[in-house]
Amino acid sequence: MPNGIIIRDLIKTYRRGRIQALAGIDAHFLPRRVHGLIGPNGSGKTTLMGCLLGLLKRDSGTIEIDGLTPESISFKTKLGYVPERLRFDMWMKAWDFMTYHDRLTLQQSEGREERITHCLERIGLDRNCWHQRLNSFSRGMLQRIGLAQALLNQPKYLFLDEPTSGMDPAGVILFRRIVGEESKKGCLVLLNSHQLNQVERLCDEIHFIEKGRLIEAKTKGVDTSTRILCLRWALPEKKLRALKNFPKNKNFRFIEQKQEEAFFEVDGDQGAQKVIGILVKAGYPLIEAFPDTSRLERYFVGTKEKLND
Amino acid sequence: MINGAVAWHTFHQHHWIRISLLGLVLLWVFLSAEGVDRIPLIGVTPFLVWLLGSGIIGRDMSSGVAHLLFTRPITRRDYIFTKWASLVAAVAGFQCLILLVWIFGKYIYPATPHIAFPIAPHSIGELLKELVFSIWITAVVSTVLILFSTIMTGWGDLALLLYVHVLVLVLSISPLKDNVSGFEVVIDWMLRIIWPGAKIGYQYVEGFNHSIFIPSVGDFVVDTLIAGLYLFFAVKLISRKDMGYTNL
Repeated sequence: MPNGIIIRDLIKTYRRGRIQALAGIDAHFLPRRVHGLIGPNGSGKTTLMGCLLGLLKRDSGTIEIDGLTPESISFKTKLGYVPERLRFDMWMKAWDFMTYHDRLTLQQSEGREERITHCLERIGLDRNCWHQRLNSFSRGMLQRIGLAQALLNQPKYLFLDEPTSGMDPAGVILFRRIVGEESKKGCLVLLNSHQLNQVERLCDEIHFIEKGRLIEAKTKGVDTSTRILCLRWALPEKKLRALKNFPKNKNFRFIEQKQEEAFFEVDGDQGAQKVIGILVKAGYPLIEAFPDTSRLERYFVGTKEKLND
Repeated sequence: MINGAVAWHTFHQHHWIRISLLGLVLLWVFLSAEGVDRIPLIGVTPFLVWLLGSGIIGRDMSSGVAHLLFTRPITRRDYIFTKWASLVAAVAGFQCLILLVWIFGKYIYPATPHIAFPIAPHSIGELLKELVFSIWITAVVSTVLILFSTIMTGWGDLALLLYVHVLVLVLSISPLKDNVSGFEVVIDWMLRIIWPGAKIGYQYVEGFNHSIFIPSVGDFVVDTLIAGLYLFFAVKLISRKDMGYTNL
């Protein structure tokens, strides 16, 4: 039975202890879930990922990945990784690059061509580019090929470090679909991203890191009980005051209004239905209602403020 | 222990630059004073090792490709060993090529029949002995390159070739060698920084009334032991290194 990733009191320093990157992280990344790492720059997200990948030597603490260490070969045969900085062998052609990585994964040569074709088709890389050198690729194309090499060994653990920076919208949608598919297959996905909307959309669990410590871990299921609803309308100026004085209800609460948008904190779907119903009945010219995707941003800012206090 | 993918990668990395440089070495061998009259293998071995292998590990580290490589199922020990074995194989292959060209020039198509100082033709046994000895030298010298390439990033190990060159050049300046007391000892120790088993050798070139200094390896057992130690240190060094972005 897989346990996922268990981290205990992980400490990592640089420059002989002068810079502390991780100051005692304790975490449990459950299997078959998509985990998001968020935190400000320099908070230790990439260092944590480096330790989990076995690339960085930890000062102390333990990491167990289904009973294996990050340095073990057994773990690495099941690992897929997309680095943030795309430092690939740029002199290689895309096909050769995939062949090289397929060989590195220690898979049998039988079926190699099919595996590579499948992965390249999956990430939507134009067939004309398959035999082009990587140094002629755009950043978005490199992101795609980076994702393709990570999928070669049908990973059980997929670590993604800023995987969509530089990707076009079509690529981002494709990426989300692939992560969803891999998660459904039972893969543990660890996503390090500054794009909070993306983390919120994709992740089952969100881990907030600040100054080398894991401050908070939020599960999506818990978070959905109260959500922010954004309502958009052509609001006459005279009605603005009335909206501010909107009666309080146990199912919803008015938060703020920004030009033609108003935000309500609602208690689940029922709360959303109630607030929309009341507003429509009251004659507000409602154009659309949608969940506010920036709630993680609010949470992020809120947590930082709490820490500063 | 040898990873096929890493070996393939090593053979293909920067191969055009290297083949061009090796072409120049070949030209140098056959256009030198002795022409095809002297088996040229041992003399060019250190150059071959350096030209084929400089940056063999340092480049992987500084370019960042090692970052992704070490997330793959390969141990750092296997990586070092594969790099070393690939380098030895590549240089050995090239030595065979030089020998074939040499045999062709000497016996089949003697382009230089007016050789000033002809020597008796070598037997096949002598040629093979020369080849085996050259490959052993290659295996030994390659460990120096592997160790220094692990310490230095990028093409830093190429500087070592320059260092040895300068030492040999200084050694060849006879007024210095004759008049400065203990000069040879100093140079000897400077060479020992790179290779503890180094000895100053003398080579007398027929027809030229002077001797030149060449750094030569010590005896077989000592050198093999040092080579093993160098590989061991290279593995230790790379195992302690962080492969994060902070190194890049």
